[in-house]
Amino acid sequence: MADVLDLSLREVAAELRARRISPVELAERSLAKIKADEPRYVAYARLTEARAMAAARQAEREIMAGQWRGELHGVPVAVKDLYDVAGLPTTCSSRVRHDHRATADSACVERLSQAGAVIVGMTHTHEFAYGIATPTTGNPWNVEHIPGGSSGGSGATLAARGCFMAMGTDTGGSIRIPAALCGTAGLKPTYGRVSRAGIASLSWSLDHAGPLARTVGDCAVTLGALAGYDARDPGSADVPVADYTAELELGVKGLRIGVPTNFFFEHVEPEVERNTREAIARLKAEGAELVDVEIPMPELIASVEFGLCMPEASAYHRTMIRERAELYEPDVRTFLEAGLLVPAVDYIAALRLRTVMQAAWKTMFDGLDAVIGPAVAAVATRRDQASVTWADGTEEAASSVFIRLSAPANVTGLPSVSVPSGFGRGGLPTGFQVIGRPFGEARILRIARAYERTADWSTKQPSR
Amino acid sequence: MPQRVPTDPKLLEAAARLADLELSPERIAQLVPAMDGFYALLDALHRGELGETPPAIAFRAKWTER
Repeated sequence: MADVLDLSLREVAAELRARRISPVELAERSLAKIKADEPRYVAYARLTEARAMAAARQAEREIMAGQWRGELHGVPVAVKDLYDVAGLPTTCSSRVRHDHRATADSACVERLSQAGAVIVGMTHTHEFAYGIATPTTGNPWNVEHIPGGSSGGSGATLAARGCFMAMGTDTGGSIRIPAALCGTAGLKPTYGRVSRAGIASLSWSLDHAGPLARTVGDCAVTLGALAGYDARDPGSADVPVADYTAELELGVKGLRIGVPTNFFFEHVEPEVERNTREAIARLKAEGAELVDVEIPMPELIASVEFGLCMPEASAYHRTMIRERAELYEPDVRTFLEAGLLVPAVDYIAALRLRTVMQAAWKTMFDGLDAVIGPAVAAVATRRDQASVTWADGTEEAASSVFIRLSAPANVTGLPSVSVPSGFGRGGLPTGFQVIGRPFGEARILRIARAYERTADWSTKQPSR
Repeated sequence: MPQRVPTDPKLLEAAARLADLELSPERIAQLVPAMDGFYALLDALHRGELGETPPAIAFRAKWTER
């Protein structure tokens, strides 16, 4: 049998339910693995050992008594250092928030705890989730490269087999980018599907909470525990919660999948494109009908994304940037000061264009179950690399390289799951994304799972 | 159509004053090249006529429990 830490969440859940593994022993092994790896990867802002062991002991008592709560019960998981955990600091990986301490659990932590999950630690984020590098952290596939961001610690610990699921947030791609760069699955649900109450905000109108995990099924199980209306989050949607595992294994026969003829394959590394097109070909072989689609208004996606994000982020930080500017990292300080210099009319124009873009995507989606493209344009860049130079000589900032293809699902609020698709330059992971209709998570997870069944990428791991 | 790029220190100084943000001359000099990129992105928001298009804002008048 494989090392228990190499199992997927769903596999280890079956072992726990059958009492072949003790939750206490599993938590101890998870924490020991994380501690052994931390000097190399620095994936965690802090471990939550006392809380984890208490939860593991409780899970053990309940499972032994036949009170199994579901597939997260007794499973070691992590949350990004933006999620409030009662009694613990939430520093957002920033010196600015060194003195912040949460008084209550965030909604997601509350729901994970109700599901019996064992939270072993809080993972590093790019400072305040405002970036794609997560400079604190190394990519386990090559520590000289970034893990992506902003949920970089979550991607890194999953790749390193530290835990079985790690929560991220996604404002411009911050779940799907580290998922793709670290070789894991990552799900950004529909805007409003998962409550953000108790999560430090980057941009209220673009922020999403969701899981990174080894497999698509692990993401489905986690979403089932997290989804639901929460009046504390003004963006929360009062929409019925589906059974996200029900159609996972139904395959793609008869489903119609859009393949972009523009935007998604422009300025993309050849290996990333090759692996995405191979995935699309496999889905066709499994019975999906492929339909060419043209992505509407591609030249305005970044303008809307930044037109919304910059002023909202600066509004959130308005006091802190005045009182503690020197404590911010230079890149984040620049973004925040710049956002204060954006006129309200620009922001409202972005909101109006968002309305137009939403309608255009609805038209594009007519008769389609999903649209597929690369999750990110390149494999993980070096930690000291600021830009990428494309074959035509164009130089593009690394932040743009990674956000460019993920931002459409933030601007439109549509669900998107990133799926490992193999390896590219330097033996680093690649990923593609399946974007769905509003609240169509079950359908995109089904499509992603149909591909996953034809590949074994989730079992691959960095050399130890 | 008015353009804000290339940005210059005077424009940023005025914008910062309007935003009640104190920026040193050195800090303004550092921000100028970054703002060129940001304002170029934002200028693109105004290239088309939006007519009666409402903004995509979320507000519910219903009182909800906290």
